[in-house]
Amino acid sequence: MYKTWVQRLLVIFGVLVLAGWLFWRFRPHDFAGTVVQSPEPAYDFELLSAEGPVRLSDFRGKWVLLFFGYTYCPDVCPTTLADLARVMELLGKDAEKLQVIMISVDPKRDTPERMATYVQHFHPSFIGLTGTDEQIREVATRYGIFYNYPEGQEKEGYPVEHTASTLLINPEGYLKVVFPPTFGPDGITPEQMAADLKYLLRR
Amino acid sequence: MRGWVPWVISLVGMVFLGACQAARGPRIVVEDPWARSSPMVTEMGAIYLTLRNTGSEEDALIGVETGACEKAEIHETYQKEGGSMGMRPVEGGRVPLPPGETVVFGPGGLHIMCMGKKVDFQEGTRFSLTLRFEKYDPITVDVEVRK
Repeated sequence: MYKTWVQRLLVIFGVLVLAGWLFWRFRPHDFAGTVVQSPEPAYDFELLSAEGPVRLSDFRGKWVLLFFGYTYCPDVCPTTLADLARVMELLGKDAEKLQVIMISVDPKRDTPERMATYVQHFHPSFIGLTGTDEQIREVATRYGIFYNYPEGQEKEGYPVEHTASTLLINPEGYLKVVFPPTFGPDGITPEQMAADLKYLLRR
Repeated sequence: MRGWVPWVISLVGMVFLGACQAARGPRIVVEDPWARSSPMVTEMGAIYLTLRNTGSEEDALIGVETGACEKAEIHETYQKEGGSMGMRPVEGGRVPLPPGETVVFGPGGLHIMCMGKKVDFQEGTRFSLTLRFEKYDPITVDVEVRK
């Protein structure tokens, strides 16, 4: 009688441990970014890198983090790029499955070479793209990115107003997550962003 | 015989009043000055720091100077409705520093905008920055470039 009770307790204990592990393993992830369900693939742009034309579809099979900015931007863009580099560091080996791309919203000043030097300062794998005014306007509009030149483009060092969110595109080319900026009152940390990515990359 | 007592009392009083006088007015402390590393391909850079006014009177940061930049200005990043962000010089070119308060210059907010970098903002680079206030004497700090 006693012996069977011990056995029963052991079984109950085992079941509890297993249930706990399963619950932990398949726990729902609390996303820091906004998860989106897109009915169609993200706009397949073709823009210019320092090494020639680049299309979004060139990266099928990889997760793509897309950020829009400009190289004359001293605060928002370097902060975002430094934080994206930190995300790469936090992902460790999983970082290989990720491609960070920055698209210029200031094609007048940002040449492909300038973009390449700029983004590679933050991480050697980062890609910087630019294009014609029309191409950039098209890409930004399709991705819901706003930008304008509040002081015009005549004065040297003119600022650009732009949306500072980072977009995540899945390996099939669908927009999956929109991340808020990594600073400010509603900002998320690189750690939170890396946690979202780890969850998605390992599924 | 006790003729020296009033003298001592008034002397102590004067010293005490003098100390009070010195403690009055603003007193500014600069903490953690740093700049974000950026490549030489861009002319722009941003410097961040924390200012604390531990005095009893309001003051304001009214100017910044550094040999590391052709021009340095006090700027702020703002967010518009709909989420887009921009950058502009602070209103009136001054940042008020109320007594007892801490004002943080950090990413996505107030920053010292460096235009025309004259030194390479590589990790580990150091340069000096002078801050000018309405009342308090100028303070020169050592800025460290970080990732």
